[in-house]
Amino acid sequence: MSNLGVFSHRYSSMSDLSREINDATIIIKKAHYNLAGKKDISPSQLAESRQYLTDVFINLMKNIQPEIHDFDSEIKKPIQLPISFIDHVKNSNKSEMTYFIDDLKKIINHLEKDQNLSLQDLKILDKMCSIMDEETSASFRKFWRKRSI
Amino acid sequence: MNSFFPSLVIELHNRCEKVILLLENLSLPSEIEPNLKNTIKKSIAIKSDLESILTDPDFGAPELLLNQINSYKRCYESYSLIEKIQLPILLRYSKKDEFFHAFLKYSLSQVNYNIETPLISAASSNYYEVFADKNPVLSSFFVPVVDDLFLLNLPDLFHEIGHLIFFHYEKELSNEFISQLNAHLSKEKSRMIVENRPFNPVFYENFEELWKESWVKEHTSNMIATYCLGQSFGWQCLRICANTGEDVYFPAKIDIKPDDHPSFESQIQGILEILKIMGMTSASSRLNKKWNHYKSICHFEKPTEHDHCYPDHLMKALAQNVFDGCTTIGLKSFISQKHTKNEINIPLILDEAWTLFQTDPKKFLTWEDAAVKSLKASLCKKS
Repeated sequence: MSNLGVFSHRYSSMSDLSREINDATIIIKKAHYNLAGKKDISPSQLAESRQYLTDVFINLMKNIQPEIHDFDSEIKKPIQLPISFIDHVKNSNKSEMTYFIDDLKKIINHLEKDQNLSLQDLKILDKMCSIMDEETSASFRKFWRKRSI
Repeated sequence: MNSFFPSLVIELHNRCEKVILLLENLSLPSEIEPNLKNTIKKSIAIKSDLESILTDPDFGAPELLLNQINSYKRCYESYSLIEKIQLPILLRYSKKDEFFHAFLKYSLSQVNYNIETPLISAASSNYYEVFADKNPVLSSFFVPVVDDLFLLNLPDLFHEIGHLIFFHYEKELSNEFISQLNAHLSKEKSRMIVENRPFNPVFYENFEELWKESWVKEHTSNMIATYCLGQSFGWQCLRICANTGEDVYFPAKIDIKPDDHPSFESQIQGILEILKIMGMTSASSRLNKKWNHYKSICHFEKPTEHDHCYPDHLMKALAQNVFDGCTTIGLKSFISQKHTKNEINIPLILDEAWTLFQTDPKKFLTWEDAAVKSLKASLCKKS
């Protein structure tokens, strides 16, 4: 038996999450950089995007460091992050995990309190989009190769 | 990339337009109209997403280029899946597909999984498989090209149905189990520390990933198939194992991540568990006896790691969760099928086929021909 059933399930959840993170990031960045498309973004869209990304980052932080104490932000909506995404984030920040956790706390704080994002916040946003994109593409490529034989 | 990227988006948009046109001009039997319409709808949605990228006032803005390329990639993947999955089935829809469509439709209603019938193609080069989509009507099954002539493989279609059910009811079927899996992992990790044992983090990382990403889905699909069909699914699992000659305990060493499938031994144990929960203890004993006999003939040796990969209490917990989940969803079990008086009773036909196959193989062959003919005639009449 093939594993297409497992693949399609895994790809579907990865692709949805990747789209959601990416779309929310586009909205945040349009507003932050004051781009031409900012005028088409409603305040509620912006607030929803901020909230969504806050939830993603809190979920991520609690997955990376479940025993974290000095942090009181609560998840509004649980988001199931793929294990491969969490591992990828962990591995790419292995040597500087303490700093990375600090950066995560800062971006969560800025997003929650509707504050301006820093350059470092924006770097983290892009990094998360890229990792999620890489994981989704990798999952897709597995399927692509299997069906191309 | 700045000038290459718009070309990529425009070209994919053009492909979508052509595919939509191709699909709109297809003339297909009425039973797969919903599948066709939804494939067109999905293609239009991808086209519209591409238009949103192209007409975005910030299209190509350096600050957003990375995100826009990501959006494009998701569109490309969605399009590509249509081209590889739904499109070939729709363009080559055959009489065999028609039979399997009727068979799938009837099977789904018989187990009380009432969804619009997914697509099905009888031209698989990869045995039985399913591409599960959030929209059931875009999900697609693939079955071997001659399986409309035989009965014994058909339980495997129910394994694929299991994947689709799991896709839509993951919480009901596995949430309780996942809590127990997490508890098991924490307990094992602490035990390693307390007992001062050599701790291998890679084993636990792979264990968690394999279980959560793959094995839970495979085992659950087996258990759903067993819930619906009873022992015939177990017999087919034994047959596949004998046909492929796979070491029944592979994989057991998971320091290097193996393929997605759990070992046959654990699959059979899962099937036996659910049969017992359903009260089919004698069926479970018969299957267990033949399974042990098969293992002894082939001299498979159980590695010590096997029990660490597939702990007995977790297999039992999953079987209970799947049984409870199936009941919550309202799926009809094999036991309840036994008491229905449908003109066509697929679980009972497969059960009879597997019983006769083992008791009188020669008689089975003539019986199977007649049963297939009768099944085709009855399903034809119904559709």
